[in-house]
Amino acid sequence: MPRRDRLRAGWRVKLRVLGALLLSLPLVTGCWDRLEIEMRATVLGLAIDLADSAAGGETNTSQGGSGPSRGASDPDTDDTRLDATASSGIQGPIRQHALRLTAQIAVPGRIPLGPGGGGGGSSGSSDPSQAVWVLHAEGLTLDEALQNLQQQVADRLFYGHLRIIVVSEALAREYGLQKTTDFLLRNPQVRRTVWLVVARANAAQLMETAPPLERVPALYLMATMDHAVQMGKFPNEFFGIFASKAVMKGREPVLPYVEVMQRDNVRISGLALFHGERMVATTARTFDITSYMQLQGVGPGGYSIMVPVPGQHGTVMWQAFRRKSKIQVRLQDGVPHFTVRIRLEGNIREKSQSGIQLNDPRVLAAIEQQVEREGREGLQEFIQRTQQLKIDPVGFGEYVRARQPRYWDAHVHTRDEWETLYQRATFDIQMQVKTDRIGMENV
Amino acid sequence: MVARRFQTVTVMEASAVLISTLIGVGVLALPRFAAEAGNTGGPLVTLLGLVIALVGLALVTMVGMRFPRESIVQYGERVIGRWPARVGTALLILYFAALTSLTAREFGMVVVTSVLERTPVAITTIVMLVMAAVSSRSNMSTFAYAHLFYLPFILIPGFGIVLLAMKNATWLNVQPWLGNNPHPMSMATGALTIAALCQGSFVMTFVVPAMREPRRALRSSVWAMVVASALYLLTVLTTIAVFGAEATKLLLWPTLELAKTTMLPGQVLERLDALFLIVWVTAVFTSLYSTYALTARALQELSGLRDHKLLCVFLLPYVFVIAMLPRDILQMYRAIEWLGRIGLVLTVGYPLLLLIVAVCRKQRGELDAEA
Amino acid sequence: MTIWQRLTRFTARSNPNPLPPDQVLAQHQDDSYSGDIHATVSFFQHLFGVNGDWVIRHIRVFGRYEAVLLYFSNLVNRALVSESLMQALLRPPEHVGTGKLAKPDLRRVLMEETVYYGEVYSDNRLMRLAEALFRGDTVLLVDGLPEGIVISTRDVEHRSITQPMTEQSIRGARDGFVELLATNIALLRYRLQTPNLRVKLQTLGQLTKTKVAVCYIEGVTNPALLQEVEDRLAAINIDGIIDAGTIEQFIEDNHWSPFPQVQNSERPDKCMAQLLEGRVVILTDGTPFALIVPAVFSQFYQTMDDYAERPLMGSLIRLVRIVALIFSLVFPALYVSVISFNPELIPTMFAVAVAGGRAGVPFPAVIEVLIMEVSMEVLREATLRLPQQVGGALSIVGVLVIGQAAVAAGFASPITVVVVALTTIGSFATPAYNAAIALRILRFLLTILAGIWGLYGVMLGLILISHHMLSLRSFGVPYLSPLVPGDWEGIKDTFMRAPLWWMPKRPRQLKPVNPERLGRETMNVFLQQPSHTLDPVRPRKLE
Repeated sequence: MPRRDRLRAGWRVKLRVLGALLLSLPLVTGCWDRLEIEMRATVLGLAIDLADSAAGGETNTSQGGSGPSRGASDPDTDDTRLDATASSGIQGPIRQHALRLTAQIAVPGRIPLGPGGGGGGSSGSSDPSQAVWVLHAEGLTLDEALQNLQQQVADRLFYGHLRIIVVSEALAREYGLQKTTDFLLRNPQVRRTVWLVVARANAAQLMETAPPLERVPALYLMATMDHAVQMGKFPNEFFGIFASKAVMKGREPVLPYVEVMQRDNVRISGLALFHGERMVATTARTFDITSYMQLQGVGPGGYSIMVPVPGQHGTVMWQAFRRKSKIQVRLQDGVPHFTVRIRLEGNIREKSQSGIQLNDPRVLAAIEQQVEREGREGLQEFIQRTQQLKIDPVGFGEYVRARQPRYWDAHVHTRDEWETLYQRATFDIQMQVKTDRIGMENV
Repeated sequence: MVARRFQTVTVMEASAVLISTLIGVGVLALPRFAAEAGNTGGPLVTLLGLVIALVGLALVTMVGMRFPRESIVQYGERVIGRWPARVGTALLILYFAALTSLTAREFGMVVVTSVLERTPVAITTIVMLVMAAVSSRSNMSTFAYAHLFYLPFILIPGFGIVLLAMKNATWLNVQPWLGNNPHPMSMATGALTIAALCQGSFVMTFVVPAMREPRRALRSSVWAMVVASALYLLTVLTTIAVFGAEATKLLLWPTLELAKTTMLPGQVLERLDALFLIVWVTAVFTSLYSTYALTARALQELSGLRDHKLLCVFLLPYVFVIAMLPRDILQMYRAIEWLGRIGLVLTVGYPLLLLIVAVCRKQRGELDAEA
Repeated sequence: MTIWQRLTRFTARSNPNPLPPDQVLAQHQDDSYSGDIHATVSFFQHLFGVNGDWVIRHIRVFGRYEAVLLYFSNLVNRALVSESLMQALLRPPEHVGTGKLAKPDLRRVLMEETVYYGEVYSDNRLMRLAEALFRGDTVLLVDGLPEGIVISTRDVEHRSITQPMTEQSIRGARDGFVELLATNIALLRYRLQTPNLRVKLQTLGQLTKTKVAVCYIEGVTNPALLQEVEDRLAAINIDGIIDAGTIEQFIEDNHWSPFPQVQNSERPDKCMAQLLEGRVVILTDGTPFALIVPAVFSQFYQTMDDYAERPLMGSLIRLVRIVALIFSLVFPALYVSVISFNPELIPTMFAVAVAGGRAGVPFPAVIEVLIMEVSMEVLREATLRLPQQVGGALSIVGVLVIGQAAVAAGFASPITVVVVALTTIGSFATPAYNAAIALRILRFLLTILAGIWGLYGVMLGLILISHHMLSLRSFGVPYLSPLVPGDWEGIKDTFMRAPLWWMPKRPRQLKPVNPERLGRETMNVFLQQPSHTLDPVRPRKLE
């Protein structure tokens, strides 16, 4: 009996083997998606400008411009092309305009394996500008521009390691980011954690900088942003968050706003404030970033401010390391009234005068008061400014939506309706400051 | 018949079968369905849907426990007569064949859209179906073992990803709990859509007769539903909390995007979406395995054949053809929603009918009737 | 006349008696020895006379009775036969005197008072006598006495007990099984000094007449399991049992599975431990490997060291082994799918660097990995078969060629070499050779699947493999137990190695007759506060 069972088992196995063979039949026909890592043109960074804004300045710095590719600095072709599209009826309510794309593509051989760059003989150069290949292309939309870029590159473009996208301020202000973000959201390769930043002048410039700190320029830019977040100097406003906020009714997205300094270094100078997909303004002062972060209650605080010590000559540097915020909303005379409570904890990092007695509780209390006053003023200024601009980057509207749903449902149906309300909203800001440590000195 | 020979399934294994069947292809689009139906009230809609599903499952289990050594095909014939029951069974078979094929198709679509962009969708679909068909040939105890074995590979990464993603959550996004502009009709429809995602649990009707202690079947049903619901609810809650209700509606597969947005601490893996897809392959496989086996076994009992193994193979082309019917992804999702509603009538209504008739006619099965 | 006819004719003519000796014996199966030594000797001479080591020695027992000693000179201890046996037989014992003895008396005197050997018995069937001869016994036929006297004088050359070569351990016992069944049974009996250890002997193989011992512990091993083992053994009808492997291939459940379903071991301590858990050990004469059934997957990565060391160490090294095992299975496949399908998974910096490393390699990653893996397998096989002195040299050359030169020649990328090396090392860490081979084969399958569908393919492969393992049974025991179906008692000894006092029960999947292995009080004693006998402040006083 067991013998026969096992014979039957043998049949079963044979059938299974047959099944496995059948299963392997499609395998033989091909591996559709196999594409070796070195056969991919890994796009590390993208810069998007308006075509005409960059037309006069940059020329194609790399060897990609031969053959069929259209000359990057050729406004005539662009114009004719634009006319053609215009006549073909693509032109909708949003004016179409060509984008100029600058891409940073990794050059595999140039970045040596392992630590220490010296080993690689001929290709072991550690010059960051050598590690990447910067290419330009134009197109009406992002994807069209990328397709034009693909025409210049032999390998298939690969966006899985796209880490930073820079958009010029002009583009963001004039046309908004609709044309940019849609492709990025639709393409499965692009990360949602990619940094989308607005550059003050020319975005392409950021792709061509070659900071000496990192082997790959785009990674340097990314590290700049990441580390700023880690140090608590910047909110973690990556692309995915932008995309989510852009469709919320009670909240406007923000993006990092950067500018290129003298040569190759980059400065995060503030936040680009958006109304939907379109950029409206930037924050006025660096301190506004702090205000924004305080209102969001995000993470570790990293900003330091210089406060004059009341009653004495000198100043101290006060750095927040922890913050908490609580926003409450209630309705007052038919408009929302917000109570913002912020708790700051921080350290004193430096004093400018030996006369300041930090171990004196009264002095410390005075400093805390000063910090509190300055902080509150900063917050008020920031809120007032956004009210004037008629945008709500902090998302007070979301508090109303979440906590006063009946009021919201009755009064707000569109983003604009909320922002009109927002202008009339009133605020009560309370701040609590606590100094935790004064460093390794006693006084 | 086959089920009668293997009465070895424990309560835990039965729960495992249910959990890994419940967690399947639907979890990807689930937050979208929830958000579309109830805005920020998505979690509430999900909860409602799960409660409906629980009621359905409890019905199936209870009628199964009433006839502890028979499957629905067999006791159906005893309760409402030979031919009406055969019609019911045939409808069930058709429905589950369609459900299996659409699940496979949805899976194929996701893979083709998000990972293997140039692979034909027919390939990814049929490979999954072949896997299900080959696996369905094994007996009931291997069926239970397989689900138990895969369970940790589904639950641990599933909960892990959701918990990691909570780091990015803004809880303001899920308030108010009732949703803005709450609309009872759309919430109810959404709840039904979500309940329809849980129809694989009908496999319980074939698990109960194979259980060692069928009287504890209800316990395992409830447990399974609680665990699966926890994952479903957490997923919806976290997804809406991370993206906001408005953005969730715009995403085709919000859960996949959630995995994409989440990073493993320590920067070991840069993104979790591929990892998530791997886990999800297992989850889909177990669901497909269940529904395919369910179809094959029901067909075997209906046709009175002794062995279900050949049926598993013969079923494959039909299921594949059904899977290839929807023209595109939008049509596919319409078909899934439509089929889900019909299925709900069938998978809740039919057992309910059987239960009512059986109670009225005071019929019940013996525990060891044929032992 | 064709060649064929000529040949058949020739055979027919040259072989007048076509029956081989065993069939002749079978024909005379029921014949008994009549007491007529001349007829019997000529019968045996006719059958065995061709052999060069066949000895017929005519003697006169006590100087009076005509007798003959039959034996195979190479199978017996010749010194003993010629000295002690011959002397004892030729010289009559003093009390016998010189008178003639009656037949029964003669037999009694011979067996009980003359021969000093351990095992003496008498038999009168020719067939049995012939069998005894081939076992290495000496047969004494006395004229007129109707029974042959069989004296066990077997002495076969054998190697002494050495360390088990295939299963090294740091702390375990150092002795291993040898080829001789008797020695192996002795090694087991020495470790299990209980009347409950049962050793059932069977003879398998029509020509080899190999002795097979089925060992089990009465009162622990499930009788149904024992019955099944005996049934499966009895069903083997083959000309020869070449090795324990021959038996293994007949008694395993699934003949096409890559996974071994019978464990083999040359460690007596391991066999003892398995016997204690309720398994059955099959010892085969002529091979140092014992078979242990039923076998589940977790047995193949457990070693004796796990139990010899303290639980923490044991668990840790076992975990390391499991990691190595998983590594050796999936690592190349994961590498291929990340490189060829999902480069976005690895850190950007590393991805770019890997691309640089691969830039000069002409093959896709799958082919590259497969080539490297195959050459690694070839190297491994070569070093295994070579004499030890050459093997060392070869492995150095191989490592140099595969490791350094392949990269320098642009044949493989450095990371591939790292991956292949790690995989190979990982597969070396699996203690059971046959399980390691299974994983090696499946690794190729996974790598190819990875080359077609990337991570999705790897996952499909893993599901197929695990589903196969889930449907596998060894003597009815699910292959992945105690993991699936879940058994908490067993899981304690699966990924970790729980403290011994915490595992009071035998593995449940074996359905032992007596599931308790720990005395009931033991647990309480161990969990008590230890008495500080030599406490520096308050030493315990003796009452």
